[in-house]
Amino acid sequence: MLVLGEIRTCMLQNSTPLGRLVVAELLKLMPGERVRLSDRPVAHAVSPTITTGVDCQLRTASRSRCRGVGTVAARAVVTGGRVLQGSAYVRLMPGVADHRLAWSHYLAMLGVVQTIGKFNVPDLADGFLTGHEPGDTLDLGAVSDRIVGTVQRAPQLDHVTALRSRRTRMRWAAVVVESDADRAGGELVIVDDIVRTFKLTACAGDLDKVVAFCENLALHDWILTTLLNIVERAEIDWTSDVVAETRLRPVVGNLLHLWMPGAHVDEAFLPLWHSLERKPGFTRQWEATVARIRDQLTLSTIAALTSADRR
Amino acid sequence: MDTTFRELAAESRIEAVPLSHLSIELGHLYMEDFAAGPDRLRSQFTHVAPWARTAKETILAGAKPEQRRKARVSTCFLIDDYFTRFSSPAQVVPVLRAAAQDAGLEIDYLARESACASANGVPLAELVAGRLTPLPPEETNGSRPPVQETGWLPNGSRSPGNHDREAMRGKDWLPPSEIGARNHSVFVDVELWHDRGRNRLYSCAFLAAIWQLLRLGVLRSDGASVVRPVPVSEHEPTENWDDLPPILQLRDNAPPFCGYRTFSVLPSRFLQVEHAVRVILSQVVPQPEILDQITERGARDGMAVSRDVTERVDYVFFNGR
Repeated sequence: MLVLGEIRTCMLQNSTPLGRLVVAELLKLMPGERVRLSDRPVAHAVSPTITTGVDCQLRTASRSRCRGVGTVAARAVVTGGRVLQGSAYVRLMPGVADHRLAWSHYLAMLGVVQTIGKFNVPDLADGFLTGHEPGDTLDLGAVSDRIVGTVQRAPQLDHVTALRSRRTRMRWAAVVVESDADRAGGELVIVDDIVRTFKLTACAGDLDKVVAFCENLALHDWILTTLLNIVERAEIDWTSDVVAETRLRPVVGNLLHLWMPGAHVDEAFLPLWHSLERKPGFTRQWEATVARIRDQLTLSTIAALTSADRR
Repeated sequence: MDTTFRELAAESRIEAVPLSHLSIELGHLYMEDFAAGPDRLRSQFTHVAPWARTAKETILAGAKPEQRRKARVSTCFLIDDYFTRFSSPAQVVPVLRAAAQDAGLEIDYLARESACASANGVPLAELVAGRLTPLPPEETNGSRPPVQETGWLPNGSRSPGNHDREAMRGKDWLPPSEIGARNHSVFVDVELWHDRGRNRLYSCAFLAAIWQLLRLGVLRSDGASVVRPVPVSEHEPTENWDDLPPILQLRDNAPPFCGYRTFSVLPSRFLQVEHAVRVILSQVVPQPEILDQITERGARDGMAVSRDVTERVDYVFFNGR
């Protein structure tokens, strides 16, 4: 079995962070199903799972044809009342027939896509991760985008952008292995300024944990990317008070408290985080950048006080 | 030393519902059936009785012998109080029970059709509408939302001509097609509801599909069961249908209302409606945790329960009144 997923991460379009109750209302994407809310160590809300039917070709590295039929599972995640993620995923399994079966067969397995054609795990995983635009093949990103769009259009939001940021995309593939002993490390690739891919291994019973881990990784990658972009733009005129006020100060209020690698991640997956901390060293880069921003804000405050004294 | 930490609001909790092995529907009552008098009812139950007995034998044939002896089988009956209001519960219920008893049948549970739209403050119809996952035509890759006509659900792809007459002008008509058809299509487009002003009127087919889902024990509202039968001892039928609980338990100690399997014995005029019910059921996605619960408990009860809800639903249609 192979699990494929694609996550879109962006800022909720609201001038201030949202409270627990508003988030719960915002994520109620399915009537009669609860939004899962967690407050510690950081506010984290997960919507019920939405399903979308698909019947299409799957991307393969070898370009051999493989059709998939089933449902895509997708959910929205909000962290800190601030960051929104659309997360779509499928479990790919070899089909039991060489043709499409009755639809109720597929609905009995939420988030499973069964293949018609050769089921080659490395071929499908690499095809999904390294392929370019999906074209006519399975498009998990579009499902994630749609869920982000649905939440962003909600009337509970004031649709004011608090902080300039870009929507990042993380495509991930988890190769399912027999036991924990067979699990290997992950492989994170920064493709360009918005696309990342991540490949990992997991045990069959760990699907929920894998999804949560990838969402957590995508979240932190987005926070760091956003912070770096802001600093890069601010560097043009690093010493100006206006820059400090309009670009750096919002960062402090909106992003800094969200940095909690491994929160809401199962212990079995923490070693993966630890290895990512060693290389590329997420938290190292984060701390260095945050220190730089704080220093700059301190300097601009001192400058402002000094000039006020002179007057 | 390890400390455990949990946040209950972060967990998904699903209430388990008690389950019989089999839920048999003995009939479905409309005003005209009642108006035709007790003889009509008696004749209907006489038709139903042998099938109900056969259903027990055939559907439980797959269970282990010792389980079969102890098998729980409940019966139910649905009364239409949604499309037409007639007589009163105080008058209908005794007549109905007597007619069933004359044919050697006992009605364990009596349900109101309006309870399929909304029961105990839970808008069941909205809840089920939210769980519809339309079957995708070939080359559906998730990039576009499924084409949906509000209030309609087909078993395939509609004829494009019906959608966009302007664009089709001068082109050949294209037929609708049933997805998964063998050679030829039997295309069905099911009306789930229509709106009259602010009021939404749900179709008989949609309510009948919800009726099946209730009996299959797969509906929950925020994790809580939506099936709460009220014993008749606590609630004598009165003059007003609205006072009647959504599901009334007529017989003390009756086996649970929901079943691993359902069986309905219906006059053949219900065939179309039940075909539509199947079209709907095959496009409703149940919560996986609920299916896990039911299949696990079925295994403990000696019943292999399919995760595909349409495989848990059986029928017999008969001619005659």
